[in-house]
Amino acid sequence: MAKPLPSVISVGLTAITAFSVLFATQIITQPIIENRLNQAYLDLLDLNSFTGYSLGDVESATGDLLDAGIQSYRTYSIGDEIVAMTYDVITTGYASGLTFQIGIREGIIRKLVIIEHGETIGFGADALLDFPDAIDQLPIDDTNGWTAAFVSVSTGATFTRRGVINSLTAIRDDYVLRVGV
Amino acid sequence: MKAFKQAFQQQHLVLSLGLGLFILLAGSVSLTSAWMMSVALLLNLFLSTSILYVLRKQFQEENKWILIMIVMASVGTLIQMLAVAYVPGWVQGIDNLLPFIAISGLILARVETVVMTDRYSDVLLNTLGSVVGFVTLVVPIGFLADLLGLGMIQFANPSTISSMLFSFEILDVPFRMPIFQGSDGAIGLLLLASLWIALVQRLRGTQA
Repeated sequence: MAKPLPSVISVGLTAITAFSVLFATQIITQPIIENRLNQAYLDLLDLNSFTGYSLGDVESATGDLLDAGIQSYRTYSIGDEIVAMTYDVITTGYASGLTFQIGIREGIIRKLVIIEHGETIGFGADALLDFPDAIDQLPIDDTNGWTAAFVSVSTGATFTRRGVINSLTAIRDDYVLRVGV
Repeated sequence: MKAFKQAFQQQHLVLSLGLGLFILLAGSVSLTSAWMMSVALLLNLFLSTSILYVLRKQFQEENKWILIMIVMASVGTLIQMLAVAYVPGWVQGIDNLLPFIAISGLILARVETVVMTDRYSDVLLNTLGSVVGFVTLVVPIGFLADLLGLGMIQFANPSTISSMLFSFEILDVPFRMPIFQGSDGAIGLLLLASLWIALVQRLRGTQA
C-alpha cells in the first residue's frame, strides 16, 4: 500500500479542489438564478433582456406612495437617466389584499399583473380579469384615458376600481417626479 | 445486501431515535420538501461516500475528520447551489437547510465507518439503506402534513416557484389543522414522527 501524503498536503489539495468545484458551480448557476429573478421584471416592462440597463435595488415605499398601497418600487436606468419603473402594490378594493405589480417604461404602462385578491366573484373579481388589457400601452400621465378604460370594464365593481385607481394615481405622480414623461 | 439491511434496519438513527429529523422539522414541511430532502440526502451520501472511499488511503489520525468535513460540507453546498438553480420549485423554503443534510448524513450513514469498508458495493448499499430509512419516515410525514394541515394532496413543479404539478383539495377549511403547518407545525410533526417511529419499531419487533 502506497504511503499517504503528509496531512497538510492531503487536506490542502482536498480544500483547493473543493473550492475550485464550488467556484465553477457558482459561475455556472449564478446567471440562471439572476435571470429567473429578473424574468418577472422583464415581463412587466415588456423587455427581452436588461442588456444596457442598470437595475436599481428594490426599494421600500414611504410617504404618499405607501399610503396608497405601494409596497416597493424599482428603477431601471440607461446611463444616468431613469427610463422605467416597476411597482409592487397591495391596496384595498372591496376587500383588502388586492395585490398587483405594474411596469412602466418610457411613459407607457407596459403591463399590469394581478397577483392575488379577495374581490367578489361576479363583480370585482371579474373586473380584475379585464383590467390588465384595458390599460395596456396607455400613457401613465393620461389619467382620463386609463380611468375611462377601467370604468368601461368594471360596471358594478366601484370599490375594486377605486382601489386600483387610487394606487395608480400615486404611481403616476411618483413616476412623473422621478422619470418625467 | 447485509450492508443495506444493517443501514436500513439495525443501525438507522432516524428510525431508531429520530436523529436528523431537525433538518426536516426546521423547514416548512410538505410532501415536496420531504421529497427534496430525500433526493438531496441520496445525492449527498452517494457523492460524499464515493469521494471519501477514494480518499481513505490518505486518512490519518490528524486529518481524517478534517477531510470528511471538507468533502461533506462541500458536497452539501454543491447540491444546494445546483438545486436552487435547476429545481427552484422543490427547494422553495428549504434551500438554506440543504447543507445541513451534510451534517445529518454524516450521522445517519455513519460515514466514517462505512468508507473504511473494503468493497465499494457495500458503501453504495449502505448509502441506499440510509436513504430508504430516511424516506420511510419523512415522506409519509410530509404527505400527512399537507393533508391534515393544508387539506391538500399536492406536489410542486420543480422548474418554477409557486406552481404545482398536481393539487387536489381533500379537506374543507374548517377541518384543516394548523398544528401541522408553519411555525406551529413542529408539534404536529413531532407527534406524527413519534407515532411513525413507534409503528416501525413494532413492525420490526425492536424497541427504540
